[in-house]
Amino acid sequence: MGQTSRRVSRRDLLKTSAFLGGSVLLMNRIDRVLGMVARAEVAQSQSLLSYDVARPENVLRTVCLHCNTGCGIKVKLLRGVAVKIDGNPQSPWTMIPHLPYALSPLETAAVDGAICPKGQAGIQTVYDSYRLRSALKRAGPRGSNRWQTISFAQAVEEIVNGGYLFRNVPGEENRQVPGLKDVWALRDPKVAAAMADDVERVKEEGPDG
Amino acid sequence: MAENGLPPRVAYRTVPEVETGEYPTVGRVFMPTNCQQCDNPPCMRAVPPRAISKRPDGIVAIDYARFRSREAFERAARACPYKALYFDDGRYWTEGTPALQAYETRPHTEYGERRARLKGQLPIGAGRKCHFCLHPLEAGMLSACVTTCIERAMYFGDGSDRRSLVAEVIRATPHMHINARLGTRPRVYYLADDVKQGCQVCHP
Repeated sequence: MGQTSRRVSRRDLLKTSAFLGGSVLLMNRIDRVLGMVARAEVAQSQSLLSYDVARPENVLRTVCLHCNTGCGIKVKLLRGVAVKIDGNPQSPWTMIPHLPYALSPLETAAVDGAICPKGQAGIQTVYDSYRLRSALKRAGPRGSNRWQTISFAQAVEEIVNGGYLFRNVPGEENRQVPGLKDVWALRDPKVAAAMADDVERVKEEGPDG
Repeated sequence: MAENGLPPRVAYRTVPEVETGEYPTVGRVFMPTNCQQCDNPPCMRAVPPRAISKRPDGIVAIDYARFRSREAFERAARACPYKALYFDDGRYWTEGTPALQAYETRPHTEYGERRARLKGQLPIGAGRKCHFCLHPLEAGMLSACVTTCIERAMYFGDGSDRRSLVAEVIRATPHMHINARLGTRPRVYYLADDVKQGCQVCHP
């Protein structure tokens, strides 16, 4: 990549900016993208104004789950707060063509792929003031819309082990709720082993094998 | 929004859309509008000296400390034919919810200065507008609108360099400026196969 980098001063880069809408030109886009990487390297090595979210240590690469496409994303962090989401330029879902996998994430932190508005809104989901952070357990008769807040650990414990979970609810003092440990059906180790073998065979031979 | 920490009622780039035609020949026209970074910016002449300035690199910059009055903002906004200026009146998106969220009050960089957008502090109380995302440009990156657009509909670059991509695109494509006859000499080019027809959707 070094050979594509050309010393570009901030003044050269910005001297006269032209900004365009629409799309017509065909060109070797990978050259353009690699040029972007090179320019970012030059700018950063000249220690111009620090742009925190362009630094690799502030970029978290992960997968967007706002729909079932699962685009590769980069989450830009500032002092531990996610502040902006963009596409991971090494994902073909967010940049065509994507940057080569051989490039280190340290080199590509300053390049942004594109991600749709739903993906952009991940910030609003993760920091939604109304986001549920604990489990709600029914605290009155069904349909009464009365709830108590419990931890996820307690929720898992009660779901697995069951018991007299609603002693505090009128009419349910003596109702014993079965836990998952009481109702799971597959208990024969031989059947479990045979199923595991089948899974391996499907993996080896394919579903039609 | 996220790039520059913008509150409700402030938008550096709006995209109004217009539906055209009648079923079954319908269409939709999008008209992205942001500060045109004019070479002859009328907003600059409407405000106190150095509140708005034209940088050598072509970007029209706001000095928040000199532009922190509603009155100055209103004069500049009236002068701008592109409706590109917005007044930051101190709102937050998560105001009135159980907690004001940190992504709104986190420090962000504009015009080389890092500021947390907190009550009583700039840029609250000042006029604001698009600056082509100066902070990523200075780090060798592209403006947020350019990288965020999933259709990659925009180009950004040095128009005075004949070999640059933008110069090539401008030479190769029909294009226009908005309100060119006003003599503002904007730096934003709009590309369209048929510029005239596109304009006539809203301006018959």
